[in-house]
Amino acid sequence: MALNVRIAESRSFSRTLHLEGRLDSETAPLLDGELDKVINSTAKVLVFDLADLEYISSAGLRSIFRAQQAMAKRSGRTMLVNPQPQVQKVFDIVKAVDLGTVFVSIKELDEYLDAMQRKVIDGE
Amino acid sequence: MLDAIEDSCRGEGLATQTALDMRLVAEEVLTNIVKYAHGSMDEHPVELRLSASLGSVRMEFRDDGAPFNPLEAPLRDLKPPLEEREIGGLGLHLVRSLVDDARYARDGDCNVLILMKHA
Repeated sequence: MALNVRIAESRSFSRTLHLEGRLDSETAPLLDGELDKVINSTAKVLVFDLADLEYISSAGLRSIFRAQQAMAKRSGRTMLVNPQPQVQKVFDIVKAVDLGTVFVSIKELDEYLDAMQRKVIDGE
Repeated sequence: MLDAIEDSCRGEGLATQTALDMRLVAEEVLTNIVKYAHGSMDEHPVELRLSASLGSVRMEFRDDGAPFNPLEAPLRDLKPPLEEREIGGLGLHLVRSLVDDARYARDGDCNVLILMKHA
């Protein structure tokens, strides 16, 4: 099965990548191309919505970790939401526990981003 | 080849999770062989024998690359935070974690890796 990637600009400072299908050695280059757009933008928060990602291999981990490191280098954050069982298991095996914050639902993530947005506005 | 592995596991009535685990293990082993077994870009065959039943799955990989035992190769250290880790080298962690039994032997000019998982 292929991989579909949709990018949404959920807020001015964040980009959400919705991944659907399988992220493996065949499809990871497609994701890398999309991630470069986010890494080269001014977005401070990169969100991976994994609700419809059913499979990830080390090639997929490599893409996500590479993006996480690139975001961190410019003080950006990377977050995961909705990881499914196979994907969660793989993250657990490689001890990716400090990969930003893992949210169990979009609602929980939205509340977090709203709070972040308020902080940014208050700070201005 | 990966689709065939997954389909065979499903066809034998194994759980989706087990079928996906075996697909993942096979992807990592094959990636490793392609990357490290040969110094040149020449084509080399990899033979895979799969047997699956309700009780377990067994995969046997055979390749004629340089001797390499993935069961004893040093693993990437997972202790440092992600931001400080070198990216990559995670495939062997996945292989070793996802199977229940594993054996490696050098048979003549071939690496033989046998991996088993109980459903």
